[in-house]
Amino acid sequence: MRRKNINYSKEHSRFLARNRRKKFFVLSMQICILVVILGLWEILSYFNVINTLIFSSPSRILNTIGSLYSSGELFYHIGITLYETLLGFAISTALGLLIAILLWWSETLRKILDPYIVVLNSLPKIALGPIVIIWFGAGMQSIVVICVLITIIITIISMLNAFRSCEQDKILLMKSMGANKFQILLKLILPASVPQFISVLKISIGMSWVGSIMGEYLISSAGLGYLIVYGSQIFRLDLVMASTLILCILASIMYLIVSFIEKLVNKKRS
Amino acid sequence: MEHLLNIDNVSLIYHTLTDETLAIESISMYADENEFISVVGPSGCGKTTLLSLISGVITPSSGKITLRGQPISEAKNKTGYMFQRDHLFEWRTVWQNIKLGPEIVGDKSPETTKYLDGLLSKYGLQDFKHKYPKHLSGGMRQRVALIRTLALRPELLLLDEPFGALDYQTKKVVIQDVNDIISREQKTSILVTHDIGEAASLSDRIIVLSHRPSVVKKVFTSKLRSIPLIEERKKTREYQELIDEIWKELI
Repeated sequence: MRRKNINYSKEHSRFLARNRRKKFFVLSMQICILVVILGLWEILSYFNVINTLIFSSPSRILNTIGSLYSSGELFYHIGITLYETLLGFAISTALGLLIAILLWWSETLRKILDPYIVVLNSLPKIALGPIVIIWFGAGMQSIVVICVLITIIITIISMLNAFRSCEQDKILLMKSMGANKFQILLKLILPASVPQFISVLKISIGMSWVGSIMGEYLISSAGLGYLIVYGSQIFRLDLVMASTLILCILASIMYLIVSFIEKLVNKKRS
Repeated sequence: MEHLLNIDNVSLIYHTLTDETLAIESISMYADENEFISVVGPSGCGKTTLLSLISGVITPSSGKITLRGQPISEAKNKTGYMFQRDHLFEWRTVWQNIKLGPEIVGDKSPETTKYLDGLLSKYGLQDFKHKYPKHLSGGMRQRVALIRTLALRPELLLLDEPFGALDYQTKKVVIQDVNDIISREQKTSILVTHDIGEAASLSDRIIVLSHRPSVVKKVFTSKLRSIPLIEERKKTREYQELIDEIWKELI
């Protein structure tokens, strides 16, 4: 419990002050590194020490984002990528969880499918890109499918491991109370695996971004991945850098949202 | 007289790809109403396996286990299990934890709710009803675990080293608590333990098993349960003699 308005001893006050100073130092250094890199980058490009055509500059990146915004293109491209990522993330999470449940349910099915999962896990999924495009067409469906392919295996493997690591004594306890397999799944296996599920979400949200951007690299006419490819093709590094920056911000926001949910869950349990 | 629990010539063989192991060989034993029985034996002799057989979770290779004359496989929810660790579900409150059994069997009756509420009050847990297990001390957690086991009103309690994971102080309190609760609720119990002190101080009968394949080596009887306090039981001469005799059988 947090204690407030309490007269601490001098030693404890010194400890708290030291802790605050340390935190402040870490934060200042983090900001300093960013400011120095951006500042140096801007100065070097301003005085033409580096070629802005190849390296761009912070101000040019901001201008590009500004012009994308004023032309209405910014949120259009963000929206497309966000939609593909979230759709791929949702499908792979739901489908991955369902497959993991089926594999936990049937030991025989798990043994039968084990070699296929191992092969799919080790295969660079992007190699399947051309096949996916032929099967699902040169549109958003293919991008979402690539996104799902990249993300789903990690969800299946991690969740299956979580389900199987549930303590046997807890299962025995439920069986001794007369629980059937469905009740064991619903009342024990799934709730016990919530922390691992959130860890998987943290990984798969990142993988979904990889999937949607890779998909857009292969086949797309809109989205942040498309802007990056298009910008590099016409040698507009401002566009490439601006899109990458937006991508960084969006991916960080999503990661923070999942981390926040994780904190809430852990707070309740630990 | 018919016993509450009857184990008649039960054997169990484990099958693996390379071998088959005779884990339990022709064990016969019984338990009567309100009796507290302890099973002691060398490590790995199959004490826990015996409890799994009695609970009906595993089926014997041969022999018969009956509870009130009914085959154990048909006697659903008549046995309650308590383990070394409390195995409380951290995501459930105390109330939700003790309601687990009734939830599983679909018992939503007001009588059960009243019975559980009564147990919580009787054993000093009413104030913690809506708290999560993380808020409880080790002793309180074991008490909740025992109430959860009692929730389905089992006829037979199976206690698998329930004091094994506790520190010395907590253990002293929990052993007394468990003894009192079982006596007051008039439950027949079978305790599996490696601690002969626990067995001697808590039981009406102590069954000593041999090395694997385990057979019943010797059965001791005790009258110490008539003394209410466990610590007082331990001060008696009968307790010391019992310990010595059990020890001789084990070494």
